[in-house]
Amino acid sequence: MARLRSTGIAVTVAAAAAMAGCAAEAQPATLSPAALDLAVRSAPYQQEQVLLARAERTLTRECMAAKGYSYTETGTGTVLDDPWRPDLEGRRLRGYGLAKGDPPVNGPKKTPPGYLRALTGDENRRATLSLSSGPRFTFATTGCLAESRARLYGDVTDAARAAYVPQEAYNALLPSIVGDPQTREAVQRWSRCMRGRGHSYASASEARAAAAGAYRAERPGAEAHRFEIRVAVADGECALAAGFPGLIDRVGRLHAGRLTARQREDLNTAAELRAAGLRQARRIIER
Amino acid sequence: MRTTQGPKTLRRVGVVLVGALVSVGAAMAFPSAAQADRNQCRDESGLLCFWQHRNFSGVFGHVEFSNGDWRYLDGGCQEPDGRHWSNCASSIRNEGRNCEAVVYDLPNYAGASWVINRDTEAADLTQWGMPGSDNWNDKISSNNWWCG
Repeated sequence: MARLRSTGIAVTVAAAAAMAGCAAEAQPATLSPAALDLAVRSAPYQQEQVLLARAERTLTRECMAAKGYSYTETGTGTVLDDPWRPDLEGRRLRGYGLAKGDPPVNGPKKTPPGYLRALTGDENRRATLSLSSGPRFTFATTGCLAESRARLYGDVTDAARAAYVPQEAYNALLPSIVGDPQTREAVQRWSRCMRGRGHSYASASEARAAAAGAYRAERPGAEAHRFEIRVAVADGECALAAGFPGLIDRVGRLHAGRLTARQREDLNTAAELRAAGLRQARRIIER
Repeated sequence: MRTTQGPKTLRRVGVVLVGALVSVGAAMAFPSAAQADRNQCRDESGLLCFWQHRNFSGVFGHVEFSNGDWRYLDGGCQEPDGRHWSNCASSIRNEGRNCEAVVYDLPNYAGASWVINRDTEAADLTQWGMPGSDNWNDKISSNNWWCG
């Protein structure tokens, strides 16, 4: 990991030099293939996210056990649903997840003395990661959560880089992806597919709004939930039928050049960190 | 929508940035005047907490579950458009016990999003660039949780 951090420092120095007026001397960064995959969340991105989360939970449980505490893992092994890469299994159970009290996520509230300190560490020893487009995240550097992230990625700030830099890139590309003519054509295909299933919506946002509206239309809760599931499943199946996963993958790559040089450099580093984190996660899960 | 709501009175606090950043983009953070309001959101409380203003100041709100439209949360911004917490939050803190918090700029978990890891906070969404818009200040409109 030391090599990666050195790279990060060099990148920042280069960026600082560019800001000081030396932009003409800066070399535009080329995205590595892994960074490009990460920017567009190419498969198996969602499954890898689940693997990383599972490994982190395992490490946290072990860390807490070593300190004398029982830590309950509550992961569900499910991917984060995405309008373009839907989790169909989840949608058949929960729809979009719009029902009240969904999901019961946060476990028992009473914890034994010292538990919180063991898990989240010293409140006065926190670090902040600042991304080039402005977001700043502050997080613990001690305690079992931080130790787990550090064991997975080598360093707690590198863990934050691996988590947030790819999100910065994806959000940066999102408007271009949405506005691309190929995406708009796919939305029309999706809409025709939905109409064929009895749901007349021009966009996924409309479908979601209709499902949410059912809960406010004084329908019985169970009826609204069944409606939400029907719409969400049809939406997901039509997203796949319209070819969204592959399309977003291709269109996103077309627009990746819009990322700034600094974002490309940061994403290359994040992709390396993530690859190392994934190797470590597999070792943890398979041992 | 289910939520619990904290004090609604506006609080005036000195704006003190949390720590200074060094060139590598990471630095230790130091306690500041903003900590007092930040601590309205207790460690591992199981909540996603948010504030009307940056540096954890102003009206405080929090959610325990997923919420598809923050217009239906109590409190928040008292604007004539009735937005309540939708397009209102300027700082945020995830103290969920087991899951990462996901915030979206559109209702019903749509649009651009950020997954904010557990035990992580963001003091100033006005500084978060948002492609296609200006920044993430007063943009969050829904949240859910991802437990992995």
